[in-house]
Amino acid sequence: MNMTDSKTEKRYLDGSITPEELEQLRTQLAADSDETIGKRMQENWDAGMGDPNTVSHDEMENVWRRIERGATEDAKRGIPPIRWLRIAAAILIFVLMLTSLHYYRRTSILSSNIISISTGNGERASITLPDGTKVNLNEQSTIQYDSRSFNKIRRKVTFDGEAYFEVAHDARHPFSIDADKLNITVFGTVFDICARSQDSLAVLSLLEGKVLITATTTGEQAMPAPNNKVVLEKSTGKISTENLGEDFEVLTSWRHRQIIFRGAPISAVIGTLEDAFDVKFVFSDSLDVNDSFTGTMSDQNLDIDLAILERLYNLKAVRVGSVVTIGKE
Amino acid sequence: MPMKKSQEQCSGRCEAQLIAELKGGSQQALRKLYELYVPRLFAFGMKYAKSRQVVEEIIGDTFLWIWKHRDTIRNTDSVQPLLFIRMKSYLINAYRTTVNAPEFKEYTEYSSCLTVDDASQMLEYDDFVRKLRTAIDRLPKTQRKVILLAKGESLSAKEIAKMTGLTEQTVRNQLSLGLKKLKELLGIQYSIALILTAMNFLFWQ
Repeated sequence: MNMTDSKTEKRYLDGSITPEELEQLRTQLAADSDETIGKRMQENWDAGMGDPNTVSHDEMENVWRRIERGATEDAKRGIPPIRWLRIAAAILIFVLMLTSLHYYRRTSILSSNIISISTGNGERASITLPDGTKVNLNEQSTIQYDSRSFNKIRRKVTFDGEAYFEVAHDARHPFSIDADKLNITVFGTVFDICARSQDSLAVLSLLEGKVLITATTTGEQAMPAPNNKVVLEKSTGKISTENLGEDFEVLTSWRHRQIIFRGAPISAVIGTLEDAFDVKFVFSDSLDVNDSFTGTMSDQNLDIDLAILERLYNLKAVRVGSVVTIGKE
Repeated sequence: MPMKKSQEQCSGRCEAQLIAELKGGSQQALRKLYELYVPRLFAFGMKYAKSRQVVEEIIGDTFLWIWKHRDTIRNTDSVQPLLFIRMKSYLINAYRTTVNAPEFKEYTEYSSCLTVDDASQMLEYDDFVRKLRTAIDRLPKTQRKVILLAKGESLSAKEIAKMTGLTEQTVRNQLSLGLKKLKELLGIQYSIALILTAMNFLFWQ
């Protein structure tokens, strides 16, 4: 299709596009950049497209009222720059006073300190919560938590949008997520959740670990096994579970998860492996634990990692259940 | 007071004067420029975004932007290029959104199935969406779920069956019942489009 000319677009603009042509237009727009579309728009604008009688008088007045309101507020806020300095100084002093007062009273006040992180259109953010949980926010998503109470009894966040969670393992403090019409309780896991308040469905794809999902309108619950996808239909509160199957590869292929070590002492490597695989390492002989390790370990397959350790340090690793015994060869 | 719609009513010098006043902080000048350009901007916006609500927002944002940045206006002869460039950035997003919206796909099916007699009564996009959403909300639970999945998410009967735990046959039945109900709620013209879609869905998926 010619880049600078689009038949289906013309029919769309005319209002005579058919459903089949719409599909073609969708494909074309997905491939077109904003610049390309903008160029065609400019041509149409210059050619005078559009009937000026489209807008009604009432509509014009409605929109104007909104503009007027915004303009008046803005005008009110307009202050000459020199006065700004004096005002800024006054504000600064005031803030300093408040801050010192705050610190003075801090120990006796249990105030809430809500931290809120949001992404806009086309934005992504990667954050680490106070407990080490990693959250990768997709666009148009918000996560909120109270920094004072997080990690005290429960790790609780409020969430809307889409994100990839890697929840830090902490059995003493359950991790819970409140989203629109649902609640998720997490037990040291990795999952992807899509729960936008304006969508009619919420989807959670569990890669590993355990989660408990509750539909808050009906109380219905589900506890999917890893490699499963749970769909909540919000209007009915019904939960359905589905195997990820091939989707699993697609979901995880972009997340090549490895643990990277740089000059880390063996003790640190062992500690990380213990956390990642929920195992305990026991040493039958005392080892020189001051050696340092630089390289990557898989966080999917413990046997591979043990083989690496065996080869590098002339060790023998025997795994029985969740205990790994390390001895000299 | 009758509104001015024709651009010829303001000559080059007239607009230059308005821009000077605007930069001086005159809301009156903003209003005059608004009257001058809104008819054309609105009509253009509607062609791409199809929704009056969306275009109203875009126009509002565009003029507010002009007002907030009136100090930085360099072209003292005409604000037309600036207005267009500003609106263009909002409009491209709105354009993409409408084209990809499932409701718009419904709308094209609706409008392409109207007979010549009905054409004068054709609903505008905003009204159509409102009517459709109201009608869908009135459907019984399962019918609504199936219709939303089939049309909103473009899933096949098999996929819907898997997701909802219903059998494929139940899914097809529910869709058929739901579409019949929508036909009652929405009226005859649209129902023809719905029946065609239903046939397509029921027999070739």
